[in-house]
Amino acid sequence: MTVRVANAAGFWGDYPDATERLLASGAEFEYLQLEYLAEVTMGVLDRLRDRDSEKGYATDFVEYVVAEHLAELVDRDVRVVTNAGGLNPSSCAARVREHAAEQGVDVTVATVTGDDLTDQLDGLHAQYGLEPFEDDTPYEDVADDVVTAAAYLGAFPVAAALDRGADVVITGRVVDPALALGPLIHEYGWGREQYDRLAAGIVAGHLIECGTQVSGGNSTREWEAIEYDDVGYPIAAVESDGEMRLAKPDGTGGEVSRATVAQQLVYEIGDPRAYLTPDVAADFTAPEITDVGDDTVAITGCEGSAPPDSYKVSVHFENGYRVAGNMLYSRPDALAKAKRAASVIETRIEDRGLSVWDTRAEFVGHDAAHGPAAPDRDDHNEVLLRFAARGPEREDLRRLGTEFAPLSLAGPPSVTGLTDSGRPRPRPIIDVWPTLVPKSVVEPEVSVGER
Amino acid sequence: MSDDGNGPGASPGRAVRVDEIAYGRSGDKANTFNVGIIAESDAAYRRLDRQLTSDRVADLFGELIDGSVTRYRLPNLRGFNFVASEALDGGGQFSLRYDSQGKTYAAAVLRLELPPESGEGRDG
Repeated sequence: MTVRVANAAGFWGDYPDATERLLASGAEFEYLQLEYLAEVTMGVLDRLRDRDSEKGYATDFVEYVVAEHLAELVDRDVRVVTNAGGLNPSSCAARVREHAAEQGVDVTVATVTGDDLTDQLDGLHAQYGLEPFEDDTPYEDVADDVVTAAAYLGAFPVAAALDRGADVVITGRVVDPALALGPLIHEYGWGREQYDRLAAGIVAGHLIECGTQVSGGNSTREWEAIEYDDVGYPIAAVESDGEMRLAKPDGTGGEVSRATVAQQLVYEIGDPRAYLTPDVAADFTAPEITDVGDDTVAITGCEGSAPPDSYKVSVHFENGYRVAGNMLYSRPDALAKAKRAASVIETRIEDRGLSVWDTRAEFVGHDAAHGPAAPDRDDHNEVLLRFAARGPEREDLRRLGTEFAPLSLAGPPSVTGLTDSGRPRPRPIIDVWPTLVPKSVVEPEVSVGER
Repeated sequence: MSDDGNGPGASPGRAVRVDEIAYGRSGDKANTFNVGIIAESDAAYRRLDRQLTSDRVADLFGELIDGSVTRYRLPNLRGFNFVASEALDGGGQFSLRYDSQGKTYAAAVLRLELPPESGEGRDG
């Protein structure tokens, strides 16, 4: 027996037709997992929920996966596992049930919640003393501005939902690889102390959670040779002993090779010897990755050890406002012109007494990506000035947003680009303060088939 | 790519750009970014081990990194993971950088030129 888990979303913003393409490819799989929650997405979801209490989940899932493909997924016995629930899994589940009823499809929808610690945060701090995970910012500095706080749950609640007959599992915050490990625990009955197997599930999940980034997208190795039209979404085929193969549907673009898989294994990790999840500390220095041909790799030898006794929690809090605007300067001396324009904006901020914490001028075409790591040069055909600022007052940054257009008449010559987007507007910053809480204070909740 | 029998990167007598002997990917976690670098051969892995140090990577990014760079080995991949703390201007939504998530930073490391090696430390 082999369990095949496919991915059809690497983030909220991925191709809406990914599920359609995967289904049309003829590839077979038992589970479809869709990952929607980046750290920056949580702030977006919070704003959406503010405007409408029924929102706060990844609407792409309902709109492009459920509305268009639920019947076919059920018909093909594909079970769906997704963190599209975001800040509002029950509302997301309700929409799925509505669509199922409309389409006359009989599905059991489950939610995994208990990740939301927003209301308990002050109490947890009083009892345990929440510590910053990254820097020295104390909890007190963020406490008054918290908008949401979510613990990263593990895979066992996902497995429990499947055990209880769920066809569609909608979670809030879980560690991304749990969307693949959950189905594997359910299918194989892996125990809580079978760390090597749990680690294999984490490796499988980590590799496919970013969709096409494991199957050719973003690969820096010989990228010119990669076909970027219709890059195939990845499918992990995992055995009960944790050995696996990773592939993509036949006839799709992209590439699955040791190189593309190795790049994804090291993506967004810390100490590779201990990739920490609530279920296992996976050792990413253990797996052997081997090309077996036909855009398929074999991954063997996964190892893991006991997990930490805490959950990671992302505390999201309001932290001022941010604005960014652009002006395009042409040759000759494009960089020098753009730099002069930036200094005019700096002077205007000072003269007008606008309240800003920081500003940053970047010169697209010169140093916007790599900053001081980019080589110095001065002969550019054109340079886009990108000027960004953050500060405590929305009104001051709105005023700063009016400082760009006048430069087209009052600043350095050969400037253009005002028609694309108008005056830049400030946006609230939803910052993140990561911390840890003891596992004992979090109660994952699995709700199957009920509202 | 040069190949003197030991695979690319095994010619310590000459300078080599990292992307001649390796490839990689970068990304973020809050205010931390990481760059994973995978060597093309055993010889390249050994050379990177000697020369692509955490200090060299920290120097490359200069003022972009407020914290420090830690290097981890992944011998199974012939790879390294560089983790830079306090390195994304606050990260995610707070950062004023265009590349607020360090997505392009692997490309910067891949363009690093490693000087010729001499004497001790060279592969036989």
